[in-house]
Formats: sequence, structure tokens, C-alpha cells
Amino acid sequence: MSIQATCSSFGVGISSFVSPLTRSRHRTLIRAQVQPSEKSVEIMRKFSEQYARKSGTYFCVDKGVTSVVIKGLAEHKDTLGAPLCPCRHYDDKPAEAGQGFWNCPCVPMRERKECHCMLFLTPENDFAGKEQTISFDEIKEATANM
Amino acid sequence: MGIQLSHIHEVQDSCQEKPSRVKALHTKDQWKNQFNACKNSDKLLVIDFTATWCGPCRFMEPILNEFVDKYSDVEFVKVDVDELPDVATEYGVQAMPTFLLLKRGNQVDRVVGASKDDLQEKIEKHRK
Repeated sequence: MSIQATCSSFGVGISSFVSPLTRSRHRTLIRAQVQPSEKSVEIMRKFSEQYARKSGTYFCVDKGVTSVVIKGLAEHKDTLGAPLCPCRHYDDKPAEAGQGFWNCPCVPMRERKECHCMLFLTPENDFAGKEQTISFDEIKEATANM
Repeated sequence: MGIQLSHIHEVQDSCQEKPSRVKALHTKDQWKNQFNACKNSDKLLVIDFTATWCGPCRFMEPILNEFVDKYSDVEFVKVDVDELPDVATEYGVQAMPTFLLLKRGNQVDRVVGASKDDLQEKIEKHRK
């Protein structure tokens, strides 16, 4: 048990060279402390910018919210192979990722522009900012202490 | 394992701009103790079901800290759904954040989503 906890504290450092498969195997032990790979964060960052433009939605005024969700999507992409919504609880995550309903952009977002995660906000939303871009450094800075 | 995970969370919490003042329950035993204490008390218990990479949960953190200060007659705890999935499933938690309001061990209300006004209104309603 002590090894698992110790490993988790090195999550940031090892994420760049641990393969997704290895991380996936550890995930059940370490759970929420795993950091996503930089590659997946960058993929989900670009996706988020593109989808905000495409859907006419905006990021939250608090980019910390945006950053956390993008990292959550990246972590699920690493561990499950799909960007499953990080703001929901699932009995069986791999099954949900395979089913696809809650893979980002989820069905409620695609059909009704409803993003419970506050990643994509319609302009009239009280928490919507004016930006559809977020840099890798912004994400890094906003989540530096997580 | 509980002690080690607790330690990690304390470190994590202490690194944030404004440390969380909401007690985190990491183990089943901690949950059981809290639940039993709730059953034997008239005090309102507010449980924040959260997850590490949930943006709206992070958004609510300073608001909950504010509530901890404001409502000293209410108990606030948080549960990470990845740490205690059985508890989350037992209460039918699907979206985060979900705030469950318990009194004497019974659910009296719930708020789904990052709605400060909604949560405050329900706390005011049930805390007496």
C-alpha cells in the first residue's frame, strides 16, 4: 500500500514516460491522483478550442474550471482511450467509454448545448467568459498545485 | 492506506490558493462514523460529492468554505466519488458536484450542479 501512495506523489514526474497501458493498470490503485500525459492534454486543449468555435460556446470566466476539465478529459483519454466526461460518476467507466454517450462532446452537448462540466458555455450563461482559446501554459498554471 | 491517502489530500488541499475547510472523507470507516454521528444528531449534514478533475466542483470550493464559516450549525463533508464509489452509487450520484442534505441519516434534499443560490436556499430551509 505504501508503494502505491508513494507512486502517486510522483505522478507528475513519471507521466511523460509511463505508457498509457501502465498507467491504466495503476489507476485502480492510485485513483484520482494520476496526472494525464502532456500529449493528451494538448489534444484535448485543441479539441476544446475547436469545438467552442464550432458550437458558438465560450469558456468559463474562471479558466481554472476549463483547465481542470480539459485535464480530466485527457486523463480519461489516457486511461480509457476515450475522453469520458470527468464530471460524472459511473459504475463502470470502461463500459461507459465504450458506449459513448458521455464521451466529450456528449450527447446533451451535441443536441442541446448542455455541458454540465462548464467547459462549453452558451453566451447567455452567467459564467460564460468571452474567450474560445486557452493556452497550454494557462492549463499548466491553473492546475499546478493539483 | 487511509492515513496515507489522507496525507496526500492534506498536502493537496494545503497547496490550493484557499485551502478547503470542508472535511474530506476518504475511507468507508470515516464515512460510517460520519453517517452514524448524523443519525444521532439533529444537525444538518451537507455532503459534497466531488471528483479530482471536475471543474464545477473546483468552482464551488470557495463557496463551500464561505458556507462553513457562515453556517456553524451545519456539518459539511466531501466525498470523492473515485475514493468511495459505493457511497456515491448508494445515493444515486450521477453528476458532480452533487450536494446531499441529510438529517438524522435521512436524505431531506439534494442539489445537482454548481448552483450557489440553490444550495444556500436549501441549507437555510433545512438547517433549523
